[in-house]
Amino acid sequence: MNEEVQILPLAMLACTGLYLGYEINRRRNKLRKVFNTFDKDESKIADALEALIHSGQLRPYVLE
Amino acid sequence: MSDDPPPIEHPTDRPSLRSGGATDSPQTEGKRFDIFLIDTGWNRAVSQAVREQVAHIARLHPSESIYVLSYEQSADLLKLDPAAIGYDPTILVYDLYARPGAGPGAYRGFRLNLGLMRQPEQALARLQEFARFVATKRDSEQLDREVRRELHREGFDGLVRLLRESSSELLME
Repeated sequence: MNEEVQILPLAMLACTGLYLGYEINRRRNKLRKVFNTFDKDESKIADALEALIHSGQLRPYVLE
Repeated sequence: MSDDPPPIEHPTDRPSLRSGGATDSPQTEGKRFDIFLIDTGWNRAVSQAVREQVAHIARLHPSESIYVLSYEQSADLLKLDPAAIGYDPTILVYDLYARPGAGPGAYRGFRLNLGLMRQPEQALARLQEFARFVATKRDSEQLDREVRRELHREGFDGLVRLLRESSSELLME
């Protein structure tokens, strides 16, 4: 009975730690999905944007 | 003599979006980013909220060039990157001072996928964070590191911030 009493807080502590780790990881993954960096693989889109700018179809936003 | 501030001069020979690699120091008053709003109107509520803030973003970042794509232009662009369909409105930021480098992993810029937000308020909160980040970190030489540290909440400071944020309503569920 005495052993059970000692194990219970440790088990609860471990569960809390596991949950916190899971939750932090989940939130960071969401942030990575919302804000992400890109590299040269994005070059197709960069080419298309450059083409739009050079052809005059896309112009910088001007404040009214 | 006029007290008006001198006009901001934009370089006429702009660095390529693909390669970045502008050679002078980023610690300048000049332009560092080309910012594009890609929006097909898929997420109508968020789309409207974001478009209403474009003028505000332009006022906050007068040195940068902001381009707002039409719905048609956005749809054409997403055909080139089908994996990003449904993530728009997306703000794509090309860093003209990205260090030259080849191959995958060579940082060129970053994006903000606001279409992943369900509520316009959530999207606006992220847009504010983005505007603050661009304004405060624009002189950074290693912006990719700042993105990870500041926006992804990496490191111990980020962990503390993540835990402090009662942001379950800000983060998409």
